[in-house]
Amino acid sequence: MGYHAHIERLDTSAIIDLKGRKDALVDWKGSDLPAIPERPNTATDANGLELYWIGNDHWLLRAPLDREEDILRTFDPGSAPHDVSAVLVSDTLVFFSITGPDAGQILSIVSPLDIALEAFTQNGVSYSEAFGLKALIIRRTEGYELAVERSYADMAQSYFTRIKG
Amino acid sequence: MLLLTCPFCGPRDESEFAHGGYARKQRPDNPQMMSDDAWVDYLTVPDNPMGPVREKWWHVRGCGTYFTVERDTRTHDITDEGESHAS
Amino acid sequence: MPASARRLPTGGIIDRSKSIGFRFNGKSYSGFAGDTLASALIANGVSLTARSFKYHRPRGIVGAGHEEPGSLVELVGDEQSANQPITTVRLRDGLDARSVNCWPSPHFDLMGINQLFSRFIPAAFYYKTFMWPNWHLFEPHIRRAAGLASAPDALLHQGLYETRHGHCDILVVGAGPAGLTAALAAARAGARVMLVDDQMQAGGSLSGLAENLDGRHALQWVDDVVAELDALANVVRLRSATAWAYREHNLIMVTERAPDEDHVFQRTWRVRARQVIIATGAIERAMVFADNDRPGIMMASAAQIYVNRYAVAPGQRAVVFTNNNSAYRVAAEMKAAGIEVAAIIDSRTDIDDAARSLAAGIEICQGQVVSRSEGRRRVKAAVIRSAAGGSERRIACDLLVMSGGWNPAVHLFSQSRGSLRYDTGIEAFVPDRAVQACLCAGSASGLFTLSGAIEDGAEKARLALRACGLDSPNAKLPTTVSELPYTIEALWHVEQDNPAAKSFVDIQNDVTLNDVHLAMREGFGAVEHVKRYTTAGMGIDQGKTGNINVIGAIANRAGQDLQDIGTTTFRSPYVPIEFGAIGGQREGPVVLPYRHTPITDWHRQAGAEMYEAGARWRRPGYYPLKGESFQQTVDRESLAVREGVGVYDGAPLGKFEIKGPDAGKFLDLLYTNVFSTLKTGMGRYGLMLTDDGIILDDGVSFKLGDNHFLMSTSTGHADEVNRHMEHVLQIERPQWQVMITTVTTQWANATVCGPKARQLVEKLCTDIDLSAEAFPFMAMREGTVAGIAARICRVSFTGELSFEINVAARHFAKLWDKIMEAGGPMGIVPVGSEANHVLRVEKGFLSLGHEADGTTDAYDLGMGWIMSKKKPDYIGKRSVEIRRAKDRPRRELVGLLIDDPARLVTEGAPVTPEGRRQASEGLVTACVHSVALKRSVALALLEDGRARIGQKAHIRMKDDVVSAEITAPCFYDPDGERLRS
Repeated sequence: MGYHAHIERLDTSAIIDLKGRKDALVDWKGSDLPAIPERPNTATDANGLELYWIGNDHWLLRAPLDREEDILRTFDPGSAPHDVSAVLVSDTLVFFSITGPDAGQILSIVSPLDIALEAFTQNGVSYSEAFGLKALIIRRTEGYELAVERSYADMAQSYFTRIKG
Repeated sequence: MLLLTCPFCGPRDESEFAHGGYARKQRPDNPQMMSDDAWVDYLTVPDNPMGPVREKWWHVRGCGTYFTVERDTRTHDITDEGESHAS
Repeated sequence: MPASARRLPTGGIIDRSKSIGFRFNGKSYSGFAGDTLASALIANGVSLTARSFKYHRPRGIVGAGHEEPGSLVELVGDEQSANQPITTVRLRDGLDARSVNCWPSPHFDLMGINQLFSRFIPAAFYYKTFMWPNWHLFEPHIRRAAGLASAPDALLHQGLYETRHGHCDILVVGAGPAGLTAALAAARAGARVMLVDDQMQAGGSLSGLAENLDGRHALQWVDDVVAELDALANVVRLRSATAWAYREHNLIMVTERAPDEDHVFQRTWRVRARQVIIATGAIERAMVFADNDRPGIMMASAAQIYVNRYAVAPGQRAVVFTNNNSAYRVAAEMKAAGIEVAAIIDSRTDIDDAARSLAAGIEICQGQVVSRSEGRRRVKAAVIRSAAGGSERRIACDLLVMSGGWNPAVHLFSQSRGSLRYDTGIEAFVPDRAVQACLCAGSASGLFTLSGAIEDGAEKARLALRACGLDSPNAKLPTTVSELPYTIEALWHVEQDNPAAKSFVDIQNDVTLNDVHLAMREGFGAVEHVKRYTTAGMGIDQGKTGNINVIGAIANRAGQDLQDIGTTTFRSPYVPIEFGAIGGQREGPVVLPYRHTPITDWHRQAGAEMYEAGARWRRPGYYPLKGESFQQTVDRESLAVREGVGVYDGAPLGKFEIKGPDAGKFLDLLYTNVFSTLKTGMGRYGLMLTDDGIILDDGVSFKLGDNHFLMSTSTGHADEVNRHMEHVLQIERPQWQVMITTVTTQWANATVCGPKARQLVEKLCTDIDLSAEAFPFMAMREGTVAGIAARICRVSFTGELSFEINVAARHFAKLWDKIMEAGGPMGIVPVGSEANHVLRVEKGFLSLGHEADGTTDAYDLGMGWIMSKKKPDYIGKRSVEIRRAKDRPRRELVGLLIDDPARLVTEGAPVTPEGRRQASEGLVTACVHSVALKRSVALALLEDGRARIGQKAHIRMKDDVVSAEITAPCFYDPDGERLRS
């Protein structure tokens, strides 16, 4: 029996970690990036790229893996100005998708993040705690995505299986 | 389980944070100019009030910001949600 | 009355179509769905259900809920669990329960002999007796004679304990009239509402009354409200759910005991609410008179609940003993159900007419008290007299119901640190000032009428909504019929005619009025002392029905008001909670986090023994081949690295990209040595201290470009170094521009090491000049290895030529396979942490936790060269100076060659002067069988060690003293020719 939720480990995404002041970032590659999100812990997207604002002067740029070479050329870490840091971190995160009518229940079991629509809006993305670990939680139309550091992925999988029932 | 207000993320559960030590005076630029006693004092003698204490919290399982709050050690009441240290 | 006739022919909220069989103390009975174990036993005419904790007196069923002080049971079989109040066990198929604390049965309890010794075992007897010659002699026997039930011996298998988080605007605790009214108002206003109630059936006190509300049966009103709430998306309603802790910042713990999901056994919520409305009702108080603990003596409200909710008659002929109005309704309802009510013994001087007319046809003995009960296994008479004393009168009965008044259930409010005050109008402690965002509603705040409770629920909802920025809808409140007002004259106990009589203030823990007086005589008169001295209120029921009587007894004897005596501190949990409920799903493989590298499966398939390596990583310790001993495996792996080629999985090493114009300055502040002068493409080994001079970590950092460094740390301290760096950057140097990105799991590294390492890597990498001239020790190069983009670093932790090949984690398995394939003809072996340990000990390389143990500094370890003299300041410099200036011998790192080359000693073994049994002068930090020297070698920290090289040291082992020669702490290639080759 168990909860009506489907939890699936996703393929690796291409991810670039961006740090630096907003104006420095925009100066460097504003035209190639989606619009800079206006509210903390929200996401924007354009041309298949997603931009997550998840900390002070800290963003994640995400794209499907087959575009990794492409975005590395555009956002070449070696050519960033001295006040912007771009680092490839694709392999550091493993994403799980959580969908189905009970997806929200699964989230409420693993994380203290308030995922009600009022608190975690339509384009919400935030780091929070899940199974005692740091996890990136994203709201999707079909449910949620939750990412943990790669080394913890097996444990996360084990945990999900256990709680799903 | 405290509810702490991160300057970037808003109110979040204590399990997202790590205690960052009490908010002591800024680390002196020239420890070499200080007497032994003054240096050891700076390192090891914290304020330990029964009442509001200024302390740091690190949003380790969150956005990574360090911030300072004032918390009453008797009641856990957050009497002052300080500012973030990040520029 | 035959047993079958105890079940009333009609009424009750039980399902008479579903008969349920169960066992109690080995005998079979049956009841109905909806019964509790208590109600079903009463229906079967069972009244003796327990023996008391200390005196082993016969006991029965006193209450109807979790306040039950009389009988505890343990469940056996599949559902084994201990110490459940008999009144909270729901009847279900296959239930098998037995009484605790009596053997072989409550009817014939061999320990009942304790009663003969009761004079010698009053409160706190164990502090004064059973002491000589040694109290430990008596302890096991006393423990066997005391104690309740036994721990379950099998694991739960019918589902898991789940924990989860809840969030709401308004949490309402209690679905009685006040709670339902409040929840409805809040829900209609659009707030996020959670409503929790500890019964399966909502209604609270209404389910025990035969009451009319809003023109229909009260339970019909309850059903309508519940239906409306359940249809709203903004409401979460939990049944059989007890709120048991009120924590800081409005965090409430709630445990659901019967969740709908089959795979969940119990669910515990951590609810964060903006506002809490506590509508937990009130709990009735017992009366204190001699032998007030006999089976058949129960709370008046309990009798009412058994009649109305469970349709059972707890007796045939009842006497009612009361000091307030509420018992009159009970008397009337018992009479209407066919129970003969012989008399109402009302201790008050004033009884209003409304009460009298409610009890028409029943004799009312005004100003009288019950001085004692008679009977053995069941009450058979109440002996009454005037409150002022005088002649006795005996009234035969088999049921004696008592009402000492009502206490608002202030436990949660008190846990929230709200204050209480004593209300002389209702003779009870009521909530006074809240400290957190909570409100009490209904009888929980001292309002004991139905209309009052409903109005209060609506009002508190209005206040809570306003605090959430919401308006309250205007709604008509349900109409109530006129009710008896609540009036009371306090009677904390009946004066004992016989000083040796036992008037119980705490039935569960066998605490009598005399015990309270004893405690006060001995100087333990403060309420918290009386509690601990007598153990009153310390049982599973936490004195819910009796604590106020203890306070009253203290007040009477001390000549003070109850307000001045105060209550003891209310602590969570409100009811017993199982450990599993708190731990939740954190058991089995997920009780502690664990981390894997991309090729953990490969290690397992290769037969590795997996270790936990620090910071939660699982790493291979060694790879035993069939038939090999541990030592043979470790020797083989170590030898391969010294003479051929080996490879190990270094993926867990911490890695950080550090960028920004102030990056060089930052590293100079963090490390003891200088990094800002590094050339691009080169790395340097560095030591990191905390500001109090303790070694935090060591590692190698490389310069990748202008303002761009790659720091690597130890596996075990990566997280701590990250914290340290963020702290320094954000708190100490917020004006510096440095950006740190964790890339620990971006790069997985395979370290190929040994004299044949270059040969092997050349087979896989053709675009980097790997020669010693082009690629010196401590350099880093980028290129392709096995067709994969890679960074190669020449660092060595084994002392041999090493190439640390870093690739993106997704390609690591392929890289590893290619290395194993290319290395096959060279005899490559995978190397685990045990062999690594041997190799680093042979070289005398530092290992955190061994040689760096929090007391040693770099100078002690022979690494003074790493403490920069050029830098005016770096983290730890000042403190190291202060520590070294102390006039105390320092322990220095040395090597030890044990006289017997085959002998090994344990890590941590103390070194003492001449091996004498005295304070140590050092300790062994590592000892291994060296493959290079073919004998044992050890490292040790020894006072003044470097000056004593050439002399002897003595190691104390458990059974002997081992002598060794003190040497320099390096046994192999001291000039480092191999690793620089």
